[in-house]
Amino acid sequence: MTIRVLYGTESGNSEMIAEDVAIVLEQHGTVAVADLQDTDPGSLSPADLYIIICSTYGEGELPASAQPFVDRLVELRPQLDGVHYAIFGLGDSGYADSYSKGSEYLAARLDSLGAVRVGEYGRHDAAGFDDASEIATEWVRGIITVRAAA
Amino acid sequence: MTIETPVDLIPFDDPAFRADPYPFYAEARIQAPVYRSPLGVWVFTRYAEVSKLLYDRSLTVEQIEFGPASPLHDSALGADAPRHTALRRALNKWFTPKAVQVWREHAQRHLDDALTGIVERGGEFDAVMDIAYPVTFLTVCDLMGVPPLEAIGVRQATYDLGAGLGTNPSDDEVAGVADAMHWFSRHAEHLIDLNLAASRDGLLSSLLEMERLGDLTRDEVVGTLTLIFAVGHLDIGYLIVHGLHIFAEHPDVAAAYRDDAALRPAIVEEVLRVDTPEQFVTRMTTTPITIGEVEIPAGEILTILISAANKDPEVFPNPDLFDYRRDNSKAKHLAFGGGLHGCAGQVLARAEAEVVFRTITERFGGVRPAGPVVYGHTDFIRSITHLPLTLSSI
Ligand code: HEM
Ligand SMILES: Cc1cc2nc3c(=O)[nH]c(=O)nc-3n(C[C@H](O)[C@H](O)[C@H](O)COP(=O)(O)O)c2cc1C
Repeated sequence: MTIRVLYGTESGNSEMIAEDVAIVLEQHGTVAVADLQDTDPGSLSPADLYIIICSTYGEGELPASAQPFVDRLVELRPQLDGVHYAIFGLGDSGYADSYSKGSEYLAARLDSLGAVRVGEYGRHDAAGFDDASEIATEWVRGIITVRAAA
Repeated sequence: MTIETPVDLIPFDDPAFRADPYPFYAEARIQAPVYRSPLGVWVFTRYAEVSKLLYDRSLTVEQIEFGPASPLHDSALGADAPRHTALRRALNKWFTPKAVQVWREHAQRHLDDALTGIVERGGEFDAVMDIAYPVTFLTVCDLMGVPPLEAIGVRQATYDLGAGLGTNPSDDEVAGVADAMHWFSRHAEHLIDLNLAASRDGLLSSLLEMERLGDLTRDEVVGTLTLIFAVGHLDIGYLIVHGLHIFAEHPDVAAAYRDDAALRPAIVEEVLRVDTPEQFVTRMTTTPITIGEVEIPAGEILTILISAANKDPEVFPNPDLFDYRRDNSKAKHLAFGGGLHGCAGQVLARAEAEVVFRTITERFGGVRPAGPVVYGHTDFIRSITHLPLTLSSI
């Protein structure tokens, strides 16, 4: 199994978090980090675990680097039964109506194609002072624990 | 909630107000937190309303009459979604945390050069012209991928532009804005010609590539370049200068900065909160909105005082006190604005400040005052124009 950390970003925070999360994950197996825009939705495999870090942009939309992946996902509609993923959404709760809607849209698409969500939906809210990397690394430790118990 | 009062609670043009606006904000916050100024603009001083308005998508910047600064409508700062999304996208990748690691090294190099000169001259310097301006201007030129031409011209044009962006600019100030915009557009066109002749990696090349693909117009390239020239040194310069001023007056803060890396971010945030460089952001209503009990019609100008929100005692108890140990769990300061137009350069700004503050405290133990401070406050900007200092350990 490879743990694949995939990020969708607009202003680089998700990319930075993906790299920090990967450092934690390296203690638990082989890890590969990739931008969602360089990822083929047809290649998602039940043999791997996917850790998705994704922000929200525009008016509750996907960030630039996640958009092509989701477009292809919707177009190809690959069968994702048995594909396990965990998701961490970055957003800003100041946008009350569209808080974290981008990553939630991505998660909903994966779910509708049969993918299995692992653990809690992780979140970072840019309206506060919380350090995104700290929250995300703690969250991913939780994911590993849930996964180990499964 | 009173709306119209005989005394002007926020006298934007009054020299006493400009010297120290904070007591005026405090009074307005009590008497009329939603205040209709005699200038005809609505003024907000409480954190609750200010933070909410920053995220209100019904407000426009695009429809505000910018007068001679109208070319800025061709930059992210003056555009609404969806045009804003595209213009902002053109910038984002140059300011990511990863990209900033590179610009941080550039800032360090420019600072080291500046400090070498200062040490050779005996350790006395003007924080504005010898440190803040060269470090930030040279770094942002590197980022744009343009040669650092016309440094003094860029600085002057930015000031003239800033002076005219207040609530009630004089005829001279408006004329100054027109000249500054004209100057910037000529300068930008010149840099574009140079870039087309010998392409250099950087923001400008990427904007020109977007123009070639039809994703941006030439006016948008020029507007964006003008914006980045201005914001690349203005507020960040004030952050650096305000910080060094505090270090000079309170050597204990400089020592805390030097000795405890964990405190550094909080010290910088507190510098931004306690005297916020850009005092307000401006928006216009497109439909009637209700704030508290006050209904504001469509087409009204809102002066959203992020600086006053940063001094709201409901959120920041004892707000005028510089206290980097304060509990910020309730809310974060709004010096970078927020929402769609929230500062695109904040990662860079924090990195540049860190480079300067760390180097000066670690290498020289801080700074000492070396003469009278000269202020250039307007109603829009908290400005120090001259800050003479000496490196402590020289
Ligand atoms: C301490 C330093 C800085 C402060 C306090 C600051 C503050 C602000 C504020 C308050 C706004 C919002 C304006 C509005 O809502 O109308 C803003 C926007 C912006 N800032 Fe900064 N800024 C700083 C440094 C920088 C730097 C170094 C850059 C880049 C070189 C930068 C780039 C921008 C851009 C491009 C926008 C427009 C964003 C948009 O409209 O989408 N800023 N900044
Ligand atoms: C123009 C703009 C629009 C945004 N829109 C939303 C939004 O609708 N909902 C949300 O939760 N966050 C929104 N955000 C906040 C970002 O998701 C947040 O800043 C995040 O940390 C960015 O991560 P990234 O750098 O990986 O893209 C927006 C930010 C910007 C600059």
